[in-house]
Amino acid sequence: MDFLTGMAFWVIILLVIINTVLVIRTDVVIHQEGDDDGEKKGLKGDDKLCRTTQS
Amino acid sequence: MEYIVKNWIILVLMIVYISICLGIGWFFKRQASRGVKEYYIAKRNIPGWVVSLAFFSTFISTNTYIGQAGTAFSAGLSWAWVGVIWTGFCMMTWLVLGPRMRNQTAYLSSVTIPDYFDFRYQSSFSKALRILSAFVIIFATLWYMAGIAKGCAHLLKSILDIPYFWGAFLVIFITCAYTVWGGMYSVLWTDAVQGIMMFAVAIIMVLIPFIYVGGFGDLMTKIAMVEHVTKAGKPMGDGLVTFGALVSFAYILGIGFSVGMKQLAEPRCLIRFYSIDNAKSMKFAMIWTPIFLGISMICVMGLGALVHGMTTNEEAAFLVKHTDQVVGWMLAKFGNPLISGICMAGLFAAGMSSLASVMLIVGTAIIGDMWNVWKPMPKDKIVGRTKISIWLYCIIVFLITLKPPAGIVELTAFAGAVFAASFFPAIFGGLYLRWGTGHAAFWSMLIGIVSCTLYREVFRVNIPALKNIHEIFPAFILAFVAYIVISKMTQSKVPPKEHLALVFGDGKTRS
Repeated sequence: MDFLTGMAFWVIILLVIINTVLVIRTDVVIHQEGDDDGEKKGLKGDDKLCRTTQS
Repeated sequence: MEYIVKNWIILVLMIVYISICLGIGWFFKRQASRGVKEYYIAKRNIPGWVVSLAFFSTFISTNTYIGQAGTAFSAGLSWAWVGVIWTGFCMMTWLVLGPRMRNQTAYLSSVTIPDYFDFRYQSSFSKALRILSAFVIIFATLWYMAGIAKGCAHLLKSILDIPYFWGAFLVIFITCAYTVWGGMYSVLWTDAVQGIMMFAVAIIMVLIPFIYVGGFGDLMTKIAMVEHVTKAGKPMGDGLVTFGALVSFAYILGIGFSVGMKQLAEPRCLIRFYSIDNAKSMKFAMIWTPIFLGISMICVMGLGALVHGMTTNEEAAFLVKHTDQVVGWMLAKFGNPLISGICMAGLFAAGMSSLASVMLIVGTAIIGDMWNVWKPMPKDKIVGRTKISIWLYCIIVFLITLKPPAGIVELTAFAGAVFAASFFPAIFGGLYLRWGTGHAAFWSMLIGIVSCTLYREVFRVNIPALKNIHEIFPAFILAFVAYIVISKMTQSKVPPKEHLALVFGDGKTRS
């Protein structure tokens, strides 16, 4: 197998490692429904899902 | 009786697998039917490992495990570079889109991709954008589902001698049953089971040629200099292990980008982000999805090239012209019914996981994004009507599968390019560009669709120099440039600051 052909497999492994490091170092915050939500924020749940007009 | 004696292992494994899928659908039936948020996005309550496996199994289908693996038979080990590009796009999708999409759709109470466009952009074009995107989904999915069902039906015919009609019927309507019963719960949890199977099968399949020939060194020596010929009848020589010898890098880039970019734009992939329950799950999925995909790519993308070590010259001459049969042939030649049965189940898992995802997306598009927008309905009717629409759509897909149009594979690939070119600017702009407008999103989507079609049907056919440049490149660039330019021209249509503050989570700690 020549160098460039074999490199494909190693590049995949390298990408996965780089990705793992990047994610570990990233601060990820996910909004939980109910956090900071109040009536001011508009309709909730299925009511908002059925909304078709713009707010 | 003879049939059962010959096929009992494969039949048992298939029945166990199908029972698990139907059982999962039935288990979630009541929970899923409680409301739209449950049915459409599993109430954003799914752990990261499930979503990770679901993303992997949804994106990878029989097109990969049979089609791409088989293509390596004619293209050589260079085909692994397609896997590199797909892995790169997987990383990009999770890093760039994942957390933002999850947060913004939660802030907006969005449950579909089309309604995300509507609620995010809030312009006079929002409804048109929502309906246009729903239409693209409904149209493109027809061919995609028919292509997968066709592949699975052929597999059933060749391995179990089940007539094509019944093979297509079983694949489509078994998948339809558990999808309709359990909604997104069912789709995600069956996807997770299927993802585990697919991952295991990828590893099993790549080991087969090595075991058959007698080791890594022996196999690599054998395929390094073969007497087999290419499709054109020229000797392959060392082409299987030489970069670019049997396939151009331009072609590798074309397939790599046109299919890989689907992860960034196709609703069946992006909708996965909606369902993740918390930050820990999101990080888990961001790490493990590229791992699942990357390792599968290492196994599958070079598989066809390795199969040359198992073939005679005559067998190779046949298979190089029928690359879709390479994987089936490999299993038959290896001659182990248990391994064949496990791999068969894995190949079906690959097809059915993708089918289930797109079925649900189509149902939500028809009812949630088209009918409910055109004529709003009581909210307690939405889930029931979504279920009916999925059944009806599956009937249409089944009829098309019985008589698929010529070039259905190309149609499927084209549909994927349309998604990437037309959806990505609106999605990326929505997530990152506060100054992006609904007008820009609408027109960029339309330009993506039209330019993709024109380039493919007119320019690429008539201008030889453009033959190897896939339509996704010009269409994507044009659509993205259009989004930016039209946004700048329509700054008066930017949504209000309060709305943008909600969408972008201003004042909340975010990623």
